Amino acid sequence: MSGLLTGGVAPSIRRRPAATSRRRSARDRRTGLLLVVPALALVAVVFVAPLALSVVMSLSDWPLLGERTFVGFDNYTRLFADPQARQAIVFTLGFAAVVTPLTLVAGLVLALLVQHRRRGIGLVRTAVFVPVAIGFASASYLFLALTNSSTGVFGRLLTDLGITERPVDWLLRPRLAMLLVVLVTLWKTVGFAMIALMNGLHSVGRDVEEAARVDGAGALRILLQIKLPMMRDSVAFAATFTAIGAFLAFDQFYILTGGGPSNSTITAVYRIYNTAFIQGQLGYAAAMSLVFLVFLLIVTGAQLALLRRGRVT
Amino acid sequence: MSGVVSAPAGLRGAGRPGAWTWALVAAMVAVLFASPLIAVLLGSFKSPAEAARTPPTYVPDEPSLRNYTALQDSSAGVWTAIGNSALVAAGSVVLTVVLALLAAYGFERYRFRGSEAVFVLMLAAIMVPFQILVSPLYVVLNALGLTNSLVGIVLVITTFQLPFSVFVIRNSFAAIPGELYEAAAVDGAGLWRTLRALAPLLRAGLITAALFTFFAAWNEFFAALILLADQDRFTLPVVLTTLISGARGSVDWGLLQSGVIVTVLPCVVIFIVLQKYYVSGMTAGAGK
Amino acid sequence: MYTRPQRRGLASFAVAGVAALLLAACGGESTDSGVDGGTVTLTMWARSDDEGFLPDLVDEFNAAHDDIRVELTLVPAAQVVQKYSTAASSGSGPDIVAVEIGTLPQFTSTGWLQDITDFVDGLDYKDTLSPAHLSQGSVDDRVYGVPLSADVSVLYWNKTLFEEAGLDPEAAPAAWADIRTAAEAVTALGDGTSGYFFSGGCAGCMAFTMLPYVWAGGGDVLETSGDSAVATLDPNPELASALEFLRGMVDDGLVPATAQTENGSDQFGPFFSQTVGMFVQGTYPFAQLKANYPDVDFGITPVPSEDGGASASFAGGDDVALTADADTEAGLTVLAWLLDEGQQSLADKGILPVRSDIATDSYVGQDPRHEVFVEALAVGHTPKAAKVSSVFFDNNGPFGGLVQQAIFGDQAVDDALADAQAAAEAVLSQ
Repeated sequence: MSGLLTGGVAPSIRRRPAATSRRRSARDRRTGLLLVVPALALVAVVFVAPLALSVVMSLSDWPLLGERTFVGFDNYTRLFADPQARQAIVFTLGFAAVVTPLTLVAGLVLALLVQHRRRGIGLVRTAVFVPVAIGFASASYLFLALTNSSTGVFGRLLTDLGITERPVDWLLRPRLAMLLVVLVTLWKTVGFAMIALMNGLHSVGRDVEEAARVDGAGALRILLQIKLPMMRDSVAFAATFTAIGAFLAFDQFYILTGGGPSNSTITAVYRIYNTAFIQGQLGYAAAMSLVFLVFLLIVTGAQLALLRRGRVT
Repeated sequence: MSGVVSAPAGLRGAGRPGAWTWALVAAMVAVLFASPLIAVLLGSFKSPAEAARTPPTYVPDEPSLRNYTALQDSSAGVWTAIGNSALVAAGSVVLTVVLALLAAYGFERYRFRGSEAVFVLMLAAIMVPFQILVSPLYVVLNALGLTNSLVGIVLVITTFQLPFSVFVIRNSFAAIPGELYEAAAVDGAGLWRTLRALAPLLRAGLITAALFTFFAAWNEFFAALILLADQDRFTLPVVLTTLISGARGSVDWGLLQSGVIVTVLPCVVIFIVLQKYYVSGMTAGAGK
Repeated sequence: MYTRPQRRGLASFAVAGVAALLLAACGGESTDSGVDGGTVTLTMWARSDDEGFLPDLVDEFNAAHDDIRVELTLVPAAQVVQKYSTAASSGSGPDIVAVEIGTLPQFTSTGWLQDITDFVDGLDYKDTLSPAHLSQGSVDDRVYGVPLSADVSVLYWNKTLFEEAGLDPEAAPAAWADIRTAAEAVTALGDGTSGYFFSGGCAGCMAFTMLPYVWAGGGDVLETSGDSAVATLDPNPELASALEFLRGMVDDGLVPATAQTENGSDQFGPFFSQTVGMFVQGTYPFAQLKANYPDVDFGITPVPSEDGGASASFAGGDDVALTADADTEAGLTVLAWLLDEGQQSLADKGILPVRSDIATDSYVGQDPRHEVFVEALAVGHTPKAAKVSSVFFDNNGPFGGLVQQAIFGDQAVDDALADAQAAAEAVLSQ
């Protein structure tokens, strides 16, 4: 659930209980530190140490098996000339650029559909949201079974409905394979966007809507010009979350397409995995990871900055 | 979250036709989203021969439980994997909640020098996802003898779930009125009793943290794929890969579908029972 | 004073938290070989492709031994390289490994496997062992792996389909022109029948089934000298014509569309169901056909060069080795049994053994077609380089990409070769 907080860490933290005003003694400070130490120790070993190590590794020829040697910036110069690495980053950005808006639009439509209480609403919300709770790996296997061109019921359904003449082999053409992964990703994640955006819709006061209606604004105009700007936080949260999920996509590609056809669906994380654990080049993979991390931080940073600028105006 | 919201006057006034259209559209949406799971559930009851049939049947002709009984016999050993997944999930949930509860209490109640810096550092783990750190993480865990170990998986999941959990639980602490703290402290209650006294007020935060950790742990694929080498330690998502690539030759689709159902079922059930905590966790995350 | 109980409680909490972490950290389970009541248990890993013969063999070994017990785990073929690499680098994993011989050079010089040179030199049947297997398992003069199973690629043809198409069912295709002509005739039968099949979505399968065309023509894809290997994908006229040959059949509809994405999970299905006339494959489908598809009337022949003047084969299969921490004495007992009784048992079941003496005595006589396999094994090629699997067997590696681009893609074969050469150099130079 990485990225979950990026929507707004700061506001909730500033709320402090009455304890703030108390004078704190050295003992209290030590108490606090002691309470935090176990969690901190874990973060230090499993997060901070690897992060620091990745810098060292990226400057080394660090094979999975065998001797490691310091090579300076060799991995980076190689990386910038490596068409496969470039391809993976471009593909990943493209995948995120397709999935993010699709998820947001579909999530908004669904949020509008389920925003109000009605009979059976719980069932509809749950049906849309349940795929979020299952794992990406299971979701991918599920669709692998359903879309297999000879034994999958999906192919038979499309044929029976007259949409296709015969069952489609989804993994045969790069675009179809990509479409399948996008559909699986959408099915699996759109419920999340739906709930986030529904919360956003609920946060817009009813009086605002009433006022606009009295002014003669249509439903679409109210949505686009009044509600969406007012629920900016929710939109940014859903967008950031969806985008980060897309950037880090691996399971659905590993399981459904295996990177194919013609190596056309290899994401950045997939390439990192291959480099590190199939080709055994941990150092090069670390360099790749760090460069990709910069991309990731730029994109999430930009989203947060946009959000903040929106708040000021 | 939706309890307080009722339909605005304008919509309610739209009358019956609108309601019917809504019901129809909503029903279609629900079916659309539920159908993949239902189709796989049906498929999991097909016999091997029927599961391999072209064109496939929608509903099993002769439903059989053979796929479920065969799950353990297959070289994959799905029931072993269920045990492993349960261990990983339980270990991650307990470790995450305990460490996060202590840390959240420390951060919220006892400010110490650099506490905010430490807190921000902890949250930074969210900005640097696990996938980015695989190769150094592998080296570190290897040095500690924690690769090919369920414990290693638990530590990785816990680390990357801690920030969110500390955050959510700290918010729960922050929402507790100061007087209650003072009351507990004046009592001279020890840490354990203080936390016990506050527990009912922290319930939502703790359940939310536990729930998110459970889903992350149960569903973790990438870390388990890389870190676990021995098949008898595979967790469910990884064992599914062995169902698809048995001996050279064709895939047993019925078996795969029953494997998917077994993997998915606990998530669906737990989600349906506890969904309000999941949604409130999202709301906390959205900072709204 | 309230502080005391609180601090003590707190300290114990912090201690408990850290202790939980430490406990968790130390609780890593061990997989090392264990001795229990006089029985040594050895864990063994092999790829899932070995499911056809290895579980039986291990059962036979266990039945014949009271003091040693082998526990076999089959690793999904797609994950073998990753799982073995991580096991090797972490020192975890099994006592005995069966490694596909193409991949084996990746592990021989890493310290993961035991040097068993003395054991091998002491075998009185050493000279009968498959040379390709021994070479792949050796570095300089030191031996780390011995042959376990053999697999060689040969050309299969369906006699029934040949006859229906008006071809001589007994005449083996002897040159590329023969294959092409026969493929056209079989495709012309209609009813979803195709002339030729291969698994384009599986790089390892393509290496196994296509590289023999290259070697038969006198070409090669790798130049190995000592420890280093250089890719020779471009310029490479023999490889270019093999790709053109397959591409031509794809373009003209003589190959099923599924060939592009078939990733190894259904390599044999089309031949078993008699919907394709020919394919290049190893020993596994041969056994399957005889056991489970008695209706399929087929022949096998060496994979020919373009003009039919020569033939070649990819020697595959597994070597078996002991890992560093394994109990050497018990492990060598297992290896010796596999090389002797084990090979005899395989041959008796109609499975190609890795020993030429057992092949001659017990295997060749069972079926006239067995001779083709035995001859192919004697002259089998296996590319040898530590990174060979990254270049040739990884679906997302240079060779997998080359197959997709040159046979199914928009790229000209020459451009695809140039790209693949650059990619292979990048991988091998690391």
